Amino acid sequence: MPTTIPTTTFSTRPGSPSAGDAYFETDTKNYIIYDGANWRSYINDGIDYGANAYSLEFDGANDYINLSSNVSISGAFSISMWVYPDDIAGYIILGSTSTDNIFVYANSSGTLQIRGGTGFTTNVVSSTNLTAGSWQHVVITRDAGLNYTFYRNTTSNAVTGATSTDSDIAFNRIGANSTVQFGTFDGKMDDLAFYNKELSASEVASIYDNNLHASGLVAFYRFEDGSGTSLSDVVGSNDGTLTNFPASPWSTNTPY
Amino acid sequence: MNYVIIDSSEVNSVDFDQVAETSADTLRYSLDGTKTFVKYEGTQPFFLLGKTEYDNEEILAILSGPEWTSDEII
Repeated sequence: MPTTIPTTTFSTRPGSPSAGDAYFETDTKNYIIYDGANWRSYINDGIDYGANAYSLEFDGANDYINLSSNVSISGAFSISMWVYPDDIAGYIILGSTSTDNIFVYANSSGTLQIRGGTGFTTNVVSSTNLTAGSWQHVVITRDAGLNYTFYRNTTSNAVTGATSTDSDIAFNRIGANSTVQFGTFDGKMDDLAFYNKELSASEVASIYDNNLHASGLVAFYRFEDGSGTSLSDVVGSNDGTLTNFPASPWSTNTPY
Repeated sequence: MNYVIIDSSEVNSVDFDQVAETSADTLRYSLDGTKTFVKYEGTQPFFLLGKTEYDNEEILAILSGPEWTSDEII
């Protein structure tokens, strides 16, 4: 049963509150609670979660998305995404046209890996296998020591070559790599998020169970555009451009 | 969605208002660069008339071959 919190605005806060009074400010989107002497404001995280009405369908032939700039990563980072493979055929899920040419790849068995980097110094192969025909939550994390962990539906799996020596990497393409010649993603994708920190197992579970994202987001693609050829970054301005997609690639099949 | 393979030399004749591809710069080419493909919904565009149409399953089978896809990354 939901609890309805009374609403107010910043300029019309109640003049004679009692300790414990709580409101939602419709203009600032913050929660405020009176502590007996002052209003305490609990600031919103700036993310418009809204309803999850859409995902995006990639045809596996040549659909991909170019980001307007690099999602540059140094040291610890995490990637969270929902994917629904239509097929397991060997394809790029995330890629880059930058000089380090980093990419996230699923081979013809569905085995997830992250490869590339300057001098091909990132060569991490997980024991995590995607399967066709269902939504799966995939998270890749790297700690400050450049050690990788892969999660599928909150379960972490063993990896080989888990430690990279390439701290600085940059993604700027979704669904393909720079040459579009290692296969392009075939299936649906939703809620792709990049973090500037290593997500903990509990934070991964929070995303999977409740769609609650931790702090540290540097780019977040909710795939809620629903029309047009843009993919909006809801925490920054690194929007994407749908490339080679048909007129209506937006799907109402979503993971939650 | 229908797909048609064309020679790279025919790219200049493609009307990108009638296919899903964004431009000549975003086409996917065979590894030797001699072929590419375009896709469209509905009626086959006039400039592609007579060429073999493939559906998504058929084109993916073709694209997975050595002519189009680099050796798999193990």
